[in-house]
Amino acid sequence: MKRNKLFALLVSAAPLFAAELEEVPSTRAKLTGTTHVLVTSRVDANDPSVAPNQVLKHENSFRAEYGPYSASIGFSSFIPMAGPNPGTKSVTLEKKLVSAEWENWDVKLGDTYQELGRGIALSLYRDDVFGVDNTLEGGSLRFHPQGLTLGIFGGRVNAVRNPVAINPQENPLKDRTVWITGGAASVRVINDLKVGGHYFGTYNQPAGAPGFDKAWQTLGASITADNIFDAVDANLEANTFFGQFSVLGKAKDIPQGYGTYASLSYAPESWKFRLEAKHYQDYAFEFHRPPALEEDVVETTNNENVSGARLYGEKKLEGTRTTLFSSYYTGYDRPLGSTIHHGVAGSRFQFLANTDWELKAGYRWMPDHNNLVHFGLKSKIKTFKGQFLEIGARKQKANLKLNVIPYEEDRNFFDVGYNFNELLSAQLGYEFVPSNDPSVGQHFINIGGRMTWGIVTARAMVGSTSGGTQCSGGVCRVVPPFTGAMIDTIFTF
Amino acid sequence: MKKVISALTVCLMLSNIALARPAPSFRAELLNGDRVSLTQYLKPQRILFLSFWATWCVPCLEELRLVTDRLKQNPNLALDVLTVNVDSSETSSDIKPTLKQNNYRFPVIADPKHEIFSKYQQEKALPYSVLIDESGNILETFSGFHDEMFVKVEGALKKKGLSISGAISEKK
Repeated sequence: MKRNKLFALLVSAAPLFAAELEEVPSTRAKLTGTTHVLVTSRVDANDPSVAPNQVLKHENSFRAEYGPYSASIGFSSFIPMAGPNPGTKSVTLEKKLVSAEWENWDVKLGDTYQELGRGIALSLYRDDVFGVDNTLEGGSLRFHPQGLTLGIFGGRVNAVRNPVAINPQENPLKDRTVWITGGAASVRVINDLKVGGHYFGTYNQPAGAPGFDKAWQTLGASITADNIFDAVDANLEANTFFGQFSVLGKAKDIPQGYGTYASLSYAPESWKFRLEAKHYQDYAFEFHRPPALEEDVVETTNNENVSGARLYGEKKLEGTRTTLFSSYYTGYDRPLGSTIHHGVAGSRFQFLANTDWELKAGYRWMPDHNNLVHFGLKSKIKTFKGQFLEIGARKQKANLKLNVIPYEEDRNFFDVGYNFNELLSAQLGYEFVPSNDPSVGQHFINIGGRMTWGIVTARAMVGSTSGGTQCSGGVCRVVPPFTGAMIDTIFTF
Repeated sequence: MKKVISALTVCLMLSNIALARPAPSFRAELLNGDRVSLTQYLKPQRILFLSFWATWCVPCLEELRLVTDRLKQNPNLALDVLTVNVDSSETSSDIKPTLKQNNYRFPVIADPKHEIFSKYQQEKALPYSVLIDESGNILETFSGFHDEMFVKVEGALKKKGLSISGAISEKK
C-alpha cells in the first residue's frame, strides 16, 4: 500500500518537472527488444549413468521509447524438458520500468540499477555469467544540471527469479524483503574537482513478519581530483556502516563498519602507474561490489575484513607494439590473521608479423595459509584475410593449506579458437586437472562455436568443463563442473 | 526437445529478415562532466561510430587506436566517434590513465552499471561498436575486432554518399 502511494506521488510529480524544463525535440517512437534462450542438457556429476536434466531458460525484454519517455519490461521462463529432476516450470515477470529523462531531470519508476561511488556502499547490478540481476524496485528521481547531481531513491531489492545462466547464484531474497532508501549528491567544485556524498538506510524484513529484524545506515563521501600537476588523477571514497539489530524487543549494535578506497594514477607519455588502496573493516553488506584489487584468478571471498594496496605499472615501448606491465599487491586478511602478497608481471608483444601475444605470470602467497602460481598465454595469429587463430593456455597451481594438511590444486586450461570472419568462430577447449579425484574426472574436453546471423547471436558448447574459479567484472566464484551441452541464443531487434 | 529445435530454426530463418533497428536513446555524463545525449551526436551528413570498450579489453584498445589513426589520417571523414566505457568499479580507476597513455581524445561516457550497454547488446561481448546514421538508425554492428570493420565503415559511408576521401579501409 505504501509503495503504491510512493508511485502515485512520483507519477503526479513528473509532469510538474517536465513543464519547467527544456523539452527534448520529439523523435519517432522506437521499439527494441531481446530474446535470450539458453538450453542446457546437464549430466548429474554424482551419477553420470542417470539421464541428463534438460531445461530451457528464457528471458524476454522489450523497451519502447518516445522522446524523453521510455518503458521496458522483462520476463523469464524456466521450462523443464527432460530428465529425472529438471525442476518446475515457471514464468515470472522479472523487471519493469517506466522512465522519463529530460535535460536536467530524470524520473524512474520500477526496476533500476543502483551504484554509489565505487560500489562499496551499494551496488545493485546485473552479471550474466553468474545470473545475478539485482535491481531496486521502486522509484528514483535525479536532478543533474551542469556540475551538480542530486538524487533520491527508494524501494525493495528485486533479485531475478529465473536467471538465464549455466551456474546461477542462488536467489538471495527467497525468504525476506530488503528495503533500501536514500540519496546521493555530487558537485563539480571546479572543472577537475568533484566532491560527493551519499546516505541510505537498509531494512531487512523476514517473510511474513510485520516489521524489520535488522536495520543499517550507510554514510559515505567521495572526492575526485583530476589532472593534478597536469598528469595525476586521484580518487578517495570513505563509507561508514552503522545500525541497529533488534529481535523481540532486544536490541544490540552491529559493529560499525568502514569501507574506504583510494586511487592515484599517473600517466606520463607512454607510462602508466596506478596506486590503489582499500580498507574494509566489519563491512558485512551483501548488496555491494567493492574493488578487490586482486587478479581475476583468485576467488576473493573476503571483502568485509581486509586491507590492502596495489601498485600497477605499465610501459609501452616506443616504436613497437610491445607493452610491459607488472603489479604488486600486499594486504592483510583480518579473519585469517595473515598478510597477502601477490606479484604479477607480463608483456603484450608482436612476435612475428601478424602475431600478437600476451604472457602473464604471477605468484600469490599468504604465509602459513596458501600460495598460488599462475601463468597465462594468449595469442592471436592472423591467417587469411579477415581470419585469425586464437590460442590460449593457463596454468594455476595452488597449495591451499600450507600449515595443516597440504592440498594441492593443479588446473591447466588450453583453448584454440578459429575466427572465420566476424560472424562465425569455432573453439576447442581442453582442461586438465590432475589434482582432481579420478572419480570426478581429470580431463575435460569441449567444443563450441559462435555465430552471428542478422539479429541472432548464437553460441553452442558440448562437452565438459572443470568448473573452479570463474571471474566476471571483478567478482570471482567457484562454480561446479559441467558436463553436457548448451545452446545460448540472443535475438536483438 | 524437437519443439525447441524447430522453434530455434524458425527464429534463425526469421532473423535473416533485415530490420531497420533504431538506436536506443540515452543521456549521460562524459568523464569531463559535460552531459550529452545520443541525439547531440547525430549530425546531418555524418555517421556516428559508437564504441563500447573497457580498459582490460585489449582488442577494444586496438580498435580505438585504429579508429583514432584513421581519423587523424583523414580528418575529412564524415565519421564522429563517441565511446562508452563499461569498466565496473573494480577497474574504473584505470580509465583516465589508459586514455592519457594512449593519447585518446574522443569523448568517453562512463557506464559502470551498463545502462547504455544493455540497451544495445545483451550478450555484453567486447569490443562492440555500432554505426548510427543521422536519423538514429543502426547501420552496422561490430562484435569483436576484425580488420573488415573498416571496409564496412567505408561501405556505410559510401552508401550514404558521404566523404570517404583518404580511403578508410586502406592498410597503413
